[in-house]
Amino acid sequence: MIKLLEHLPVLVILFPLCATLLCPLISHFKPSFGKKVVMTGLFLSVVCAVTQLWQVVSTGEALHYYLGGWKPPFGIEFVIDGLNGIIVVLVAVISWITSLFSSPFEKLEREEGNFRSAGYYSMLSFLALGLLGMASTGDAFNLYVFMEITAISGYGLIAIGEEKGPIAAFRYLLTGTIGASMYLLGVGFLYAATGTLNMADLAAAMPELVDSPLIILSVGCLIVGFGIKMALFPLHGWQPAAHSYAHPAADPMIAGIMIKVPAYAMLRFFFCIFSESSAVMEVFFDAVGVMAVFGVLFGSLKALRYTTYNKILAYSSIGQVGYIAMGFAIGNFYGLIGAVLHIVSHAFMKSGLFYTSGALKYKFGIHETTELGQVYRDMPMTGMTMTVCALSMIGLPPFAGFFSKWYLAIGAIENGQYGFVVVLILSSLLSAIYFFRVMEKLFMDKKTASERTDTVQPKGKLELPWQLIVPMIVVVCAVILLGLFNSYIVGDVLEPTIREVVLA
Amino acid sequence: MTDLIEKLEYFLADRGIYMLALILFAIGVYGMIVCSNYMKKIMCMNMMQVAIIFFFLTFGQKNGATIPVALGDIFSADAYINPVPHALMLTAIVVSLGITGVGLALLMRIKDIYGTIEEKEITGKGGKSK
Amino acid sequence: MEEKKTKRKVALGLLIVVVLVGIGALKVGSFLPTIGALDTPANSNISDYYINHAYEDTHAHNIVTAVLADYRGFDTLFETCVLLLSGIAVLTILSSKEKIAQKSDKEMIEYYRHSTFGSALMDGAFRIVVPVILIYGIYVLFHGEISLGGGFQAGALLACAYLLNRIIPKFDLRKQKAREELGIITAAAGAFFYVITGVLPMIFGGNFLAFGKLPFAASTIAELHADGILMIEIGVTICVAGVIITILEVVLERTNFDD
Repeated sequence: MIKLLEHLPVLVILFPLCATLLCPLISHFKPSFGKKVVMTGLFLSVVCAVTQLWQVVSTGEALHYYLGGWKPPFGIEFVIDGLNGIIVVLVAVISWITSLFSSPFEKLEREEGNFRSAGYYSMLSFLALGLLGMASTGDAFNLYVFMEITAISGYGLIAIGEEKGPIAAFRYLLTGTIGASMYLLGVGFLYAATGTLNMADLAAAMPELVDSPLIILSVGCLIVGFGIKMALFPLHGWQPAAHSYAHPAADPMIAGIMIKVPAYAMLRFFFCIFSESSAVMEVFFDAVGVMAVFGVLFGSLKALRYTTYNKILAYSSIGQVGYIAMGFAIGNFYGLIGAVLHIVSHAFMKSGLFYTSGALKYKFGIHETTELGQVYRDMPMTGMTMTVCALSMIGLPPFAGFFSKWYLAIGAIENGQYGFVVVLILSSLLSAIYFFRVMEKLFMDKKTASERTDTVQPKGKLELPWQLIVPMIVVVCAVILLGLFNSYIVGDVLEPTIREVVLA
Repeated sequence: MTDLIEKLEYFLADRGIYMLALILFAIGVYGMIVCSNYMKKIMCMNMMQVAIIFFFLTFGQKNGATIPVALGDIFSADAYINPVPHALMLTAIVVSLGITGVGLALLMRIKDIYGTIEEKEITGKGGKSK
Repeated sequence: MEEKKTKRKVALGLLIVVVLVGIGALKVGSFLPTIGALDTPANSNISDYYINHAYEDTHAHNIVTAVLADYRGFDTLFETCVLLLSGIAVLTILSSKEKIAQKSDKEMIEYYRHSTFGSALMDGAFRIVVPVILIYGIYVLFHGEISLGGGFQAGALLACAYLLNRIIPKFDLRKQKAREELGIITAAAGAFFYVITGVLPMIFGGNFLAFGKLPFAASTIAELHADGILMIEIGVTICVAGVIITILEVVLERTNFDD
C-alpha cells in the first residue's frame, strides 16, 4: 500500500486539491457539506505539513520529491528544508483556521446565491494550495503557475467582498498580472542564460555567470515581480484597497500570508540562487534596502491618517513588509533570521487582527475605529486578541513581534548599517501611536454605537459562534508561544538551514 | 533598396525579434497605465502577455530545424526546435486566458455597480475612498 | 479640444516609450543568444535530453506533448486547475448579478426570421458542421501524442460545437440548455480524473504522476507512459470543455443583447 511518509511533500497539496475538486459536486447535493470537505482537506494538510517539518528537523536533511519520478533537471521537484518547512506549516495552519473562521459567513453566502458558498470555499482552498505550492516547489516555472493560482483565487475572494470589492480586485488583477509577467520575463532571462528551470541547477550554474548582463536583467525583473506581489513600497498601489475590501472571512488569509509567501520566494531566489556576492548584487540589495526604509516609514505614517480599521491594518502591512525586505538588505545571518521570523510572526499577528476585524463586522457591522468604544465588554475574546496582536505588532518583549525586530537590529548593527536601526525604532514608535489610538478607542471611549445596546449578550453563551473564537485562540497562542520558545525555533529549525543552504 | 531589406532581415533574424518583443511588452505596460477605459486596460494586458510568449518562443528557435514531432528517420537533436519553451508557453497561454476571463467577469460586475467602465467616472463617483 | 490635447500627449508618451525601450532592447538583445543558434544554453542543456529520450521514455512522437504531459505533468495539472479556478471565480463573481429573462424559443424563431443571422441556411449549415467539429475534437484529443493536438485544443473544439448548437434556434422547441453549475461540476470531475491518474501510481509504489507504475497491462514502461498521457489528456479535455461552456452560459444568461 501507499507509504504515506514518502509522499508527504505532495500530500500536503494533494489533500486540499482533492477537497477543492469535490467541493462543487458535494455542495450541489448537500450545500452545507462542501465546506466540511474543504476543512477536512486543509486539516489533513496541516497534519502532513507538521509531520514533514518534524521529519526534516529530526533528520537534518532536506526532503526531495520527484514529481512524475523524473530526476530534477528534467522533471519538477519539491524541496523541503527547515526554512520552507516552517513556511508550509504556517500557510497550512492559517488556511485551516481561516476555513473554520469562514463557516458562519458561509451561511450568509449560501442565502445569497446558488453557487456562492461552494465557489467561496473552492477559491479559499485554491488560495491555500497555491501558497503551499509556491512555498514547496523547487522549479522556477512551477512557481509561476502556483503564483497565478494564488492570484486568481485572490481576485475572486476580493471581488465577492464588500461593495468596492470588484474595483479593488480589478486593479489588483492588472497590477498583479504585471508582477507575474515581470517574474516570467526574469525566468526567461535566466532560462536563456542557463537553459534550465530547476532552482538547484540554476544555483549550480550561477558562479560562472557572475556579472553576466542577463543575470542582472533577470534580478531587476524579479525584484519588480516579487515587489508587486509582496506590496513593497513603491509597488504597493493595489494593496490597501484589496486588503480593506476583500471578503471579511477570507481577509485574514489574503492579508496574512498572501504577501508573505512571495517574500519567502524572493529570499529563495536571492540567497539560494544568486548567492554569489558581486558588486552588482550589492547595488540591488541597496536598492531593496532603500525601498524597505521608505516603505516602513510610508506605511506607518499613512496608517496614522485613517480611522477605518482595515485601512490602518493594510497600511501597517506595507510597513511590515518593509521590515522583511530590510532583512534581505541586511543580508547577514541575523538579518535573514529576522526576516524569516518576521514572515512567520507577522503572518500570525496580521491574520489575528483581521480575524478581529471580521468578527466585528460579523457581529455589529463595525468598520470604523470610532465605533469601537467599549466593544471589549461585549466581545472579550476579540478585545484580547486585538490587544495581544497589536502589542506584538508594536514589538513589546514577551510577544513574537519583538524578537524578529531584535534580530533585525542585531544584524544591522553587525553590518554597521545604523540607519536601519534608527528606522526600526522610529517605525515602532509610529506603530505604537496608531495601535494605541485603536486601543484607546477600544478601552477608554464611551460606548458609541447605539444600535449595539439592544443586542444584549445572553448569559452563559459565547460572544460569537465557536468557529470564530477558535482561530483567535490559536493566533493568540501562536503569538505568545512564538515569543516564548523563540530560541528553539531559531536554534533547532532555522539556524542549520540558513547556515547550510542560504549562506553556504 | 534590396540591400537595406536584406540587412533588416538579417538584423531581425539575428537579434531583432527580441527587441520587437520587448517593445511590445513596454507598449502593453504603458497602455495599462495610460488608458482610462478598463476594457482597453485588459487588451493591453493581453498584449503584454503575448509579448512574453513571443520572447520565450524566440529562444527555442534553431536554424534549419523542424517542429518537435519525432519522425522515425531523424534522430539528431539539432533537427528539432527546442520543445521546452513551447511547453511552458502553452501553460502561460492558458493562464492568461483564465486571467482574461476573470477580468471580463469583474468588468461585468463593475458595469453593474457603477454603470460605466471609464476610470474617471468611477473615481469621480466616490470609488476612491479617503 | 481638451481631449485632443490628452490624445496627443498619450501618443507622444508612446513614441518616447517605444524609442527608449527600443534602444534599451537593442542593448538587451546583444546580451541574449543569437536567434536560431544551435549551441546556446537554452537549446542544448536539457532540451537535448528531451528530444533524444522523449520517444523511448513515453512513446509520444510529439515531444511538446511529452514534455507538457509527462516530464512537466505537474505544471499541466495546475494549469488545468487555473482554468477551473477561473471558471469558479467567474461563476461566483457573477452569481449575484441578475439573470436576464431569456427569450422563449418561439420569440427566438420570430427574431431570427427577421435577421440575416440564424436564417434557415445558417441553421442547416450549423447542423452539418457541429457533428464534424465534434469528431474533429475527439480526433485532436487522441492524436495529441502523435502529432499536433492535445487536451486543451480538443476541449475548446468540443465547447465550440456546444456553442454552435446553442445559438441555433430550436425549431423543435425542446430545451437543450446545460445548467451552469453542472458545467463546473463536470469540469471539476475532469480535473479530478487527472488527479486520480496521478494517485494510482502512488498506490503501486511510484511517485505522484509517475505513469510508469500505472497498474495496466503493457509490454513496456513507455507504453504505460503513453496510457497515462492519454488519460490525463481526457481529463484536461473534459475540464476545458466544462469551463468554457460554463463561462459562456453564465455570460449569455446575464447579457442583454437587445441594447
